Amino acid sequence: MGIKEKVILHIDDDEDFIAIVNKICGSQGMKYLGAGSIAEAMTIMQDRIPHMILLDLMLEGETGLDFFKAIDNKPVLQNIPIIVCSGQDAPKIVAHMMKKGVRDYIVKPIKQTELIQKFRRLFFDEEEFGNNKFEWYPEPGSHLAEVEIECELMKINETAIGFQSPAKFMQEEEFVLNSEHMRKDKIQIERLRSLGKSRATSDAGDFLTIANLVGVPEKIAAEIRKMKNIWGSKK
Amino acid sequence: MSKAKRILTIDDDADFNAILKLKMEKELPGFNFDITETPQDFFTKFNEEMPDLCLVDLNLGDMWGAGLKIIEAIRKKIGKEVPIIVLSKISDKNTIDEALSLGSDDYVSKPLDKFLLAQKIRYFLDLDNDEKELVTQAFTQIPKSKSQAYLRTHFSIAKISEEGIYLEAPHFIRKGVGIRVKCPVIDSINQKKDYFQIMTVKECHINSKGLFEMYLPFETEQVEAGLIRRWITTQKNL
Repeated sequence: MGIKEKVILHIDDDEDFIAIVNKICGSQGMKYLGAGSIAEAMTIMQDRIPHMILLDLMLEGETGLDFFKAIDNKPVLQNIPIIVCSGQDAPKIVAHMMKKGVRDYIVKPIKQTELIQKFRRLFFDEEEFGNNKFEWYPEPGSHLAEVEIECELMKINETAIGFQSPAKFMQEEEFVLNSEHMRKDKIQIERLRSLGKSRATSDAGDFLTIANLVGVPEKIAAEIRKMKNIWGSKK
Repeated sequence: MSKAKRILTIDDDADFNAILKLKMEKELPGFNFDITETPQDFFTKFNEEMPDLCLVDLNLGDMWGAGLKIIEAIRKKIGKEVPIIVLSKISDKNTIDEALSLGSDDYVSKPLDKFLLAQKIRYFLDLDNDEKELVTQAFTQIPKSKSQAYLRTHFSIAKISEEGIYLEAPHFIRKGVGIRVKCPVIDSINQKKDYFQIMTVKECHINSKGLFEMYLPFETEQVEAGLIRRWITTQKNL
């Protein structure tokens, strides 16, 4: 995943600095989420889990330490890498934060290039060495996706149709066919059931599939028969 | 053929039944058409010995749509084991759709076209895949100008990550091909309904289950990574 898809949550109450970081993130195509308080950050994280948190330590009436309390007992949030970005540069505070597990500590003011470099470094490390994988495996067969593939209709008779497509069907499969041209010619066929395996064609990477027409009433079969005279016949 | 194939049929029209038996047994040597006119008789014979295939009329005398109930009852009782073909005068789309969704395997409309029906029966009972194509009549070539069409089917979702969807199927779509995908899970994250995303098959390989696994990465803006990460944690009860 490139930096463009990364989501950053910035917790800071300094409006000028918020605007700067927002602009820097925008320049990289990143999704920027800003929170002026810890409560606001927690609300945002109810719906979204960012790839990184940029945390200021001195907030209005609260400190960065309060953030660590807020994410206590929330393992998902504790796993999000944190970079502290603060005006505080006392070694004691820096050491304390590093002990808390923050990934980096940046002292304000900061150069744009330096910030981007730190983001990139952190994302790289996360992808290479992080074990925080967001993956979901549904029960086999429990969730389906509907896929639509473009195909080229090649030949037809009253019981079957042949089409060429980039899909290779290895066994019986049911489809719905959507063809405006066929509809215009009064050949309303929708349900198809492929017969056996598709075969490779001379067009590189394409396959020919023969499918049964399912539930075609006589009047449509008659239209298909009629087309034999109009389109010509082919074995 | 070792044993005659038995086709159990139900139709309230005795004349039609007589013609059906005469014509089809001639058309399909080695097949035995066992004719019934009432649901009682049909199920008695069905229970005596399971047929190889059923032909079911939809309207039986005053019992409008009784055939649909028969299809439903067979599917409930024995599942998909016995193929069912509807043979009916009714040819409106809604009725055909209903019969197919209740579990009939195909639909042939009256008047009887013995060649067409014989082909359908052979397809379900007799022939292996290679022969299936041979029995069909000559094809008519579809002109190039009318050839563009779209196919829709369903593939299983094997995995969703913040980076993309992994679909698995006994079939595959070639790497590099753009397809349209409607995924209810992604729709619910994006708070949309019945939305097709254009995605590209980036990888395709055979997985440990022997199925083809196709990886379709999300394009920028298709789904926000922050939202999908949160959604995944809720699925895992984290």
